[in-house]
Amino acid sequence: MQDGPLDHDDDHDPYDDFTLDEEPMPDGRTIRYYAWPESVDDEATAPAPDV
Amino acid sequence: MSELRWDPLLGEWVITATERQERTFLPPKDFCPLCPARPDGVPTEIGRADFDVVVFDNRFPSLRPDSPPPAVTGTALMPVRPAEGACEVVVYTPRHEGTLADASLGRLRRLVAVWADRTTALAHRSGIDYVYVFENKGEVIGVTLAHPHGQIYAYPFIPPVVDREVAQAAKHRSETGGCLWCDVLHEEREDGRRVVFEAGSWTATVPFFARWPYEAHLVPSRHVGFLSELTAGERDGLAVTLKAVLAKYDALFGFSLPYIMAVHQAPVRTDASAYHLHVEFYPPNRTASKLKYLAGSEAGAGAFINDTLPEETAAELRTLEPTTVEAVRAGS
Repeated sequence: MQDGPLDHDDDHDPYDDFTLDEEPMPDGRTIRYYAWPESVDDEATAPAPDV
Repeated sequence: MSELRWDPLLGEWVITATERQERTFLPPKDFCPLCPARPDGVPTEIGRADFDVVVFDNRFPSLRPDSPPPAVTGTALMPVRPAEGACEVVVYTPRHEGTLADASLGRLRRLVAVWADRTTALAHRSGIDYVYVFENKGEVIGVTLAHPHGQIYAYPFIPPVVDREVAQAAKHRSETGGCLWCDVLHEEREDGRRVVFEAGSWTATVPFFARWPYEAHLVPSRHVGFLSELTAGERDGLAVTLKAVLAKYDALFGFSLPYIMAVHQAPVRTDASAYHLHVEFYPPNRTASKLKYLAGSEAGAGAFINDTLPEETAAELRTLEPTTVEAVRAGS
């Protein structure tokens, strides 16, 4: 039985190289800031493969 | 107050969430709670002056991790339980104007990464059975905030539509040994009349059985259950296909088309290996000025009536720009 999503580890996605800052909000909720290096769009230039 | 009430007639949970009556309704831009922190001090949900993509717990959640006990007492026939789960808001961009259709391929790729990351995180929480990424776009859909954003719900049950899909997929696998979506996609590609866009690893169609005139299903060629299982190339294909379909939608009637976007991933605590990740869009427009409403047959009997032929609406969308992957990349 598959228990939840699997991580794909057969290739590297530069968009997975984000930084994630989790911070509490004033009322106790949580906010998550995702950020990427500016170079990420240049790194990810591979076209979608023909399947 | 929110709770889950069991409907024994349909065999499904109904979420009661009275706090949502108080949520912010279409504020002017200067008071948008999804904009970055403002120098004038008008508060927003976001404490930073700039950001890339932000996810935060919804201020008016239907489901929450610390859900209080139900306000009513259920029975054996009609049980009630706490509305445990999560409701998150995904703010696509710090820019107030624009829509997902305006997003660059790079921003769409960022969003896919965030959707995958939040799905994995929420799926590992105790009691979560399903993680649902979606977007409501347009006032006719019921959107209360104009700033480009989507949502993620983590349910403590498998929602009814997905539950039916899971059952149908299991039945099809039992009868044929194959994947239901793979086989439907194969027939759609063989036929071709309802194909709207192809990006190699993803195909968009107005399905044979479309309920909405311009409904679109985006399906990956490879059998995976979750966004996190897509390769980098397949995520790129998803971004390109999303961009193409959204651009076609906005070109259809000459205005930014409202829609519901539903990302259907597999359930997280059930053997759903037969399930196939896909994205569904339901625009309510049947013409530029006429909407399809869920009326007597749809709302009262659950039987959809589509006023159009999928072969014709797909042909309309297919011919609209962009028609190739190269055109999508050039326009991004």
